[in-house]
Amino acid sequence: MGRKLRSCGAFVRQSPWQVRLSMGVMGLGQLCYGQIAKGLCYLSVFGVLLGYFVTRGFRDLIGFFTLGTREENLWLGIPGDNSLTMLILGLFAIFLLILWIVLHVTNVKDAAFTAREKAEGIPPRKLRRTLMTAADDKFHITALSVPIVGVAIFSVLPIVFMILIAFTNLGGDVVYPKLADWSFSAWGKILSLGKIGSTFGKILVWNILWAVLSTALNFVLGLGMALLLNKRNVRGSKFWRAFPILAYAIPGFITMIGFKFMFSQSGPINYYLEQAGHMRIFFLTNDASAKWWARGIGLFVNAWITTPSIMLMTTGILSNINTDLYEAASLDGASAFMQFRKITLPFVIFSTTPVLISQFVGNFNNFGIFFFLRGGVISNYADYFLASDTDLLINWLYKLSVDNNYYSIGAAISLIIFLITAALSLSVYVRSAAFRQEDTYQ
Amino acid sequence: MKKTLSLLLAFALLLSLLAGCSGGDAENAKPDQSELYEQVMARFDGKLEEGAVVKVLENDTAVELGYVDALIEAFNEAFKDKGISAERMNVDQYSDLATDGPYGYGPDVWYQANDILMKYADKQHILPLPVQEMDCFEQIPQSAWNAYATDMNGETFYCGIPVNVQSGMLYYIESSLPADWQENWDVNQNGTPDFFESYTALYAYSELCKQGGQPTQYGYLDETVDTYFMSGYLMTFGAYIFGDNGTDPSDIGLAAGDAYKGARMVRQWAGQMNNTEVLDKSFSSAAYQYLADRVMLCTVTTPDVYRMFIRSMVATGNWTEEEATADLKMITVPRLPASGDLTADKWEDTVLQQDTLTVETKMMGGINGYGISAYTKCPNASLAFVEFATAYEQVVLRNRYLGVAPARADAAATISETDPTVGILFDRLDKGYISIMPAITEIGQLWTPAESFLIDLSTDPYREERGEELLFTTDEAIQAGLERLCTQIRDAIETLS
Repeated sequence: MGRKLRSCGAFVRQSPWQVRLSMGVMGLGQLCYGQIAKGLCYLSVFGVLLGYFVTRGFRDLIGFFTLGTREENLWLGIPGDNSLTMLILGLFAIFLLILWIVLHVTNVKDAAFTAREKAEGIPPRKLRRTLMTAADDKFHITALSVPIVGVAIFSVLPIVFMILIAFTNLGGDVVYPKLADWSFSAWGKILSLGKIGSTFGKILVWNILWAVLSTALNFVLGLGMALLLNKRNVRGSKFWRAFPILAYAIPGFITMIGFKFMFSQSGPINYYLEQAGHMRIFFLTNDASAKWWARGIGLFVNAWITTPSIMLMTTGILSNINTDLYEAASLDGASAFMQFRKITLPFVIFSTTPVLISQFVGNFNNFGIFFFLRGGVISNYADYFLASDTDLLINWLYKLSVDNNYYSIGAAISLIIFLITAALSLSVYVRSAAFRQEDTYQ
Repeated sequence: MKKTLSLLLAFALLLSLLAGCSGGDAENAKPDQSELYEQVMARFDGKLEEGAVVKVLENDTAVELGYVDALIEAFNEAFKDKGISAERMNVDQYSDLATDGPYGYGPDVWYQANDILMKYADKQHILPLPVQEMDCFEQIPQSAWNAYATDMNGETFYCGIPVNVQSGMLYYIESSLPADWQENWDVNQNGTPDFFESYTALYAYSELCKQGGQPTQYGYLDETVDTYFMSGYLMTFGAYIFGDNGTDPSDIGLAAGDAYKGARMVRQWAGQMNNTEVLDKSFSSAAYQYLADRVMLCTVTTPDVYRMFIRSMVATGNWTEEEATADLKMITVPRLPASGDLTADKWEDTVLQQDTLTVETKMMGGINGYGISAYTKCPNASLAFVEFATAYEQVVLRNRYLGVAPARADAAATISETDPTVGILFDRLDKGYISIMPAITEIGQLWTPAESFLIDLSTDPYREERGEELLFTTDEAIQAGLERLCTQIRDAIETLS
């Protein structure tokens, strides 16, 4: 660090006065070197950014840290601050500040480059040459700069905003016009041994179990169906393939609502159970006895919706396996199961590992399945706080944030979901054959 | 003498001068209004915002049955010369005032239940209104105004205008009554079936229906897990939600008094109905068809869904609109047995000795009304709309379209001439048999624990058949369950505060 500072100091001392002018005001150095167009561009950007920061940017930056100092009174018409607006505007100001720093550094580097060229007797580049360089050597920068700025504003900024909400006390009573504060209270509530903490633990365990079971079940069923329909002695396989495709083609939420009705107290399954002399079963009702029924129905419905896509994918993969391998294995005396275990399965897993990981992440965050099957159910019987015994973290997050306005806790949970899914996905992927032996099956 | 006379005349003139210093016509004198009141009401200066379009968010049923369009059309016609108009917001345009109001989204005028409006008023998202200056002020009872009252610096403000009273009423189809009801089910010969006068008699009739041979498969069916309607059983026996007239969330009284008696009867009903469909929240929307298909004789729900029953009856093809209107009846709920046991007394005795063996049933209720968003850009136009919509003519029209009971005494008196139930509902409100839903934010933490308790209670009769242990076989167990419920609500309130 000290060396870097000393080298920066040396750079400043040894630079020509034009470069030092650029350090003060963007574009001045370029103007002094006769690069009028470039200098004016830098100068106008400098002017716009300076104007922004003078008129509101500095205020927004301060507001980012304070989140408001004056509470509004809507009834008396006394204006005040809005913490949420100040947070997002402050964040935007920070993004612009970073952009300014980047542009300023490029401006200084550009001036320094021109100074070096001048010292070597090369005349400063004019606009035409600069444009040609931008379209050729530096085309990657030219092409990516606008998308990067766009992604930063429309993707990164909202994500950072959501992460920052997790570190405030926004939600519940603390909503506009009340002012929010920076706080770890949301994390304290989640990680404590209180109601929220215990609910979080229960839901997390179920969520991981659900993600693993549903991914495995969908894969096994999809692969099984693909293998079955791939057999030469199965007649009319094209016809049989059409049925799962139908299930796949119907929008998922219609399927879920259909199954919700089928398994409801007044649905046909309970009706025929009663007709057969059995008691009606609490499949999806808000009752302790419905816990594992509802979870099982969730797995079944998810398999119903997802298996056809796995079947289609594995059908394509199976057609790529070299049949000579099976012939050779048969000659060596390998059984059908051995051939499946040593040839088919590794090949399929190798090809589908990235898909399985994305399926796992998708199932981990499968909001729709229990939202449509059991929306509105809260399992108070087992001390679940604002959650049901089938809720995934994403469903609980929705109930907390949208239904009950507890934004900071919802944001904290979404951050935890991201950390879990990112960590699991990365660790599985880098250990997988698909990553380590990329060229094995090429 | 002359000097004395002059002095007397001068004194008389002085008196006449002083008379000129009076405050003017006593009838027009406004009550003393505090500085705070003046500050809060400053935006309502009477000057209509030129070109303003008031966005109105109304009740789904009112929209579906055409009342809202009629109201808006009438308002636009009445105010077309004044440069303001109104338009209906679609239900999907609804946005949370708290989160979206500051950014310019949401309605200007909102028709909703008092607890929901006051939840927003608590955070100043709904404006206090100059209600004392409105013509409806004197017509609406104080108990209804209290549903919209809030306190600021020791002064009371009203953040909504009551329009109609909601509470549970019993619905039945007259042609579904047993043919012999006048001989066998009217022991007090008052022209009202006994099973509509006492819950004990209704229980006995429902048992008879189960045996078969009656016009309907079931007598009384209802969603026994619905907190709104089932809480009446608890409240009749001394329970309350929050203390200090619903304003003190630290005092949760669902286990107070003899509330266990009410809970015991809910369990009895669940066992008697022997139909697990009543344990599902979807029952309330299926109830219209069940009544129309004569699956059940009666059910309890709110007056604002009257037209939904009519629609279901007409859809069966067995009634025309006029026939359905004549055949569908809505009456006050029966009385509960004082013993807290639907099987303890002979049903005939509960009808003939009502005052000793039964108690008037208390029901939870609400007051629906209009509120004005604090983010409205046209407060005066919004106020003009609210005054128009709560005027006598519009309130009577709302009843004609929807069958709701108005909160205005003059409208209630007019409507009662043809529909006595409206008068009954108004009367019950006045006498305190309708417990208005508390309007504090903490009410939001009541519903899920209460529903869980009611589910536990209602599924208890089925546990033996499923080989599970019964939980609520004694009064002590029920009382313990109620106390656990209160603890869960308290925990829910405290956890996120």
